[in-house]
Amino acid sequence: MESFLPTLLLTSLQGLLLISGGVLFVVGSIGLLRFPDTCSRVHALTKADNLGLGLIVLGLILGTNSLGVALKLLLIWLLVMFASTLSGHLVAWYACYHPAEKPLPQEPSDD
Amino acid sequence: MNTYLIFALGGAGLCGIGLFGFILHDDLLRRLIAFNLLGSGTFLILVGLAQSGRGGVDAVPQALVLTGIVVAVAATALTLMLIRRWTQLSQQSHLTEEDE
Amino acid sequence: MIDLLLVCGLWSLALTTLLTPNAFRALVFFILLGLLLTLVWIRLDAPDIALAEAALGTGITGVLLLDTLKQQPQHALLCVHRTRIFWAVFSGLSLTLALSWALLQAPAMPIALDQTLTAQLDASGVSHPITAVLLNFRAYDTLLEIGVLLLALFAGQGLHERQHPLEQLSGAQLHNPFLRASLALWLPGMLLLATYLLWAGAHQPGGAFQAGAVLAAAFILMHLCGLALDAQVSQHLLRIGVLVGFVLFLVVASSSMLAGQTLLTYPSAWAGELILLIELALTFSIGLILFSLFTLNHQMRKESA
Repeated sequence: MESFLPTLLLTSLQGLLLISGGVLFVVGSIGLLRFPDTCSRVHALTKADNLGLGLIVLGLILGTNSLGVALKLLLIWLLVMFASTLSGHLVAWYACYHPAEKPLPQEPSDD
Repeated sequence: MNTYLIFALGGAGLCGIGLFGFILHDDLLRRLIAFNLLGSGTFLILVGLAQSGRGGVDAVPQALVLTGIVVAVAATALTLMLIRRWTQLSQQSHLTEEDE
Repeated sequence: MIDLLLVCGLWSLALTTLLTPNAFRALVFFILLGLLLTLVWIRLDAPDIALAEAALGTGITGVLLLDTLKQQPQHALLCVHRTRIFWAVFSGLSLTLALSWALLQAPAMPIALDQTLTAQLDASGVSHPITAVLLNFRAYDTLLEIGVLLLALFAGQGLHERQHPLEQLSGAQLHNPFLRASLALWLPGMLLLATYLLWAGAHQPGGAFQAGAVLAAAFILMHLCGLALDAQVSQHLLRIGVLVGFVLFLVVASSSMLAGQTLLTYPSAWAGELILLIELALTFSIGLILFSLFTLNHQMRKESA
């Protein structure tokens, strides 16, 4: 009985982190679909998804016992953060300097 | 119905969709995409069927598919160059038909 | 459950790719499909193919397709004839049904290649079965494959009207200071990753193709950023680098014939070292060939503009 409570606590904390991470991804995707222009779309995607990924990585780290896997997960988190920063910046930069040719053309309204 | 067989059937569906797109479209770029879908479906069938028959990992078809992916990329690049050249010369993004 | 969801995702993405009216959107969905396929390969216990699919099938193909799309003339929405829709649906469905029927009827496999492979693995010089198949037991495939890559490159070069690649190789496209700075920061990392993938290939998933794709991605990013070597140097390096993989492979493969053995027999004492050497040359060549295919494509747009 001694070890039951901490395990339960750990599992529920992990579940909470994973679920909230997933919810943040969904929120980011809704933002991507609903926002009107490129810059706000990029903003929604990068901000919400980075936090979501961070939470998921944290939840997964709680579930592992090995230091190596935990470090690899942290490395993945850092690399994805870096990549999304760079790609978000590039998309927004392109959209600002090439307003004539939009990266995301308007879709038909009846879609 | 194991995992491998499910994906082999998924590959069969992907092949069908690829063929559908290949016949449906005139546009050369879309035809190339459809052809790539057909290729991906074939790869899935190859590995999925072999592994579902074996009941485990089979390295031989996996190695074949690995080779296949690289060749598919090379073929795609060559096709894209042909499409570009055709577009430059004819100002069209689809082939002209004989009977038109 | 998760498998069925993945298959449904694959099919719906494939249909969206083919049916969406906007070409740019179609390409984005195609790239998404590649990422989903990567997950499928993981589910199929094929991490090697997943790596190759992510790097080559999605990354390099996506870059090539997007780059071509910018050059294509804007055309009207899809206009297809009714009879053609009928034939397309009919043949697609019948192909799917025939293949599914064949898959469900699949006979038992009489030849157990995987058992032969496990039995012979010690003799191959590497401990990862896929690398053993690619570079030892079926090395013929890999030799011809690098030949096919070279052929595609030569055919592409033949398609060029005018050839002045010397000055065009240093054509900067994206003058973005942030991209340049981060590339300078991460290029060593990408080279390290390529080397690691190559080294890991001997005993775990990884190998020359994946490493070559990472190398090609690094070269393409450098090219897009306008980071380039001196034109003369890069021209010579490119010519040598493109050929070195095939030539070295061929030399090693045929040198066994001098000793009276068949083509592609490695002396078993140094099989591991020879495979590593060949893989090193292959990685370099694959990286440079994929990069050249990209630049050839890229130059065609410049000529037409």
